[in-house]
Amino acid sequence: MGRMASAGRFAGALAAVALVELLLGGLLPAAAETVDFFVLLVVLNSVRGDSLQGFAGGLIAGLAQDVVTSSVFGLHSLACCVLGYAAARVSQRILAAQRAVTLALIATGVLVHQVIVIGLLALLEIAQFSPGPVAVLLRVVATTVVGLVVIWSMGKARGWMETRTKRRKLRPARARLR
Amino acid sequence: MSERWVAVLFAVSLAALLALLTLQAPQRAGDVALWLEGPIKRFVAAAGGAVDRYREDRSSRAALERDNEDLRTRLLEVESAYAAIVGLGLEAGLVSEPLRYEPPAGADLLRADIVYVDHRSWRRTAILHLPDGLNREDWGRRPVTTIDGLLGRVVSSTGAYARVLLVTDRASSVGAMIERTRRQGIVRGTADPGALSLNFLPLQVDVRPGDRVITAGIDGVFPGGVPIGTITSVESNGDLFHDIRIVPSVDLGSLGHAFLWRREPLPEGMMDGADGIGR
Repeated sequence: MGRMASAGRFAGALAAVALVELLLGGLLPAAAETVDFFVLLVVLNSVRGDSLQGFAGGLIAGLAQDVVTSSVFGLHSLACCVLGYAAARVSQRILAAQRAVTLALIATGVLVHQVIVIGLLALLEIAQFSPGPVAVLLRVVATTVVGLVVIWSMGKARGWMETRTKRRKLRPARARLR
Repeated sequence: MSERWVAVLFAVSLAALLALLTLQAPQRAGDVALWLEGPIKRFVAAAGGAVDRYREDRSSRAALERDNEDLRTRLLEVESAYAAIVGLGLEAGLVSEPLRYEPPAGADLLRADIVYVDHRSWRRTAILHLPDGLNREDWGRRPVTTIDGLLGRVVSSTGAYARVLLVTDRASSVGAMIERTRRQGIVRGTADPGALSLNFLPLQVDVRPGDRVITAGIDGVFPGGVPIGTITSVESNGDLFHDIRIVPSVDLGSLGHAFLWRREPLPEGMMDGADGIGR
């Protein structure tokens, strides 16, 4: 049941990320190229699950990224697959619940993803735009910043949800006291 | 699902994705195929080589074991023969003691380098470089041998050099005998630089190709028992004697050094009237 719930959450998040990527690609192409929402999703999904969840999530997110960004099919899938599996294995060995660790994983994840993508493009001599070092660095910083915002927002949302649930539970008791 | 299965699934997915990417880059597909094919071919070749080496090792080991066994057998035979010879020597000593017979003293051999060889012209000779400190001695008529057998005798010496008349020279003659039958004759050089002749063996004497010919020690120059050669042909030309051909024991085409016998020959005056043997 837990795995199904997390799969459902992941599917929802993936749909949201795809939508954001499509909207940004249409409205602000520069922003869409700078922030890697799919990598963010893959890392956040992997640090909260086991290696199967990380690898499968990475594969699915990568395939979605390949479709959304119209790149060579399999390029981001491979990179995200490696990233998801590695992030899941690493998070099993360190305390990934801390915000700083998660941010470090996001930054490293974006870098690794870019290195794999650029390496594959060069190795297979595929004629596709390959970002330079500055663009890669900018992508790492921007995605990490967005990741910080997302993690903070998720924490706030979780706190709000917990408060709301507690209030709902306490409402009948208060009514009886009155 | 266990971590191992997840790892396997991950590896399979990676391979599938790589194949998918490679199919989309046909210009690199050949290289990638070669990259994958190379190690596989090397592995197959290495495995084949290892199997071949194993087979060769087994066969050569079996051959070595057989050779080893043969050598052990031969060593036993040689040891037995040596023991018999030592026994015979002791017996000879016991017999010769009451007769007051003393065998000749052992020879003193000197190693000398061969610095010149001419074994094909009409005068077949070699020149030895004598050891330091010995170049003032008179080496005339001293026998010269190699590790394989008789080479010849010294005909002249000057300073550090000594000229050797090869056994194959037509002017050379050596008192010889057939090892198997102890029948004696005279070995001389022939027109053929690679052959010798054994003379004065009557037709009724048992001689066969393959018989070993050794020095007889009857010519006053050469010691007895030194190998000269092996009989290659025995013919009868209507004369009273066999026409016997011998191939020399010494390979005259691969001479490097020789042994000079420090052995006093019979005085030349005593040889007057002899049949020219040992000349």
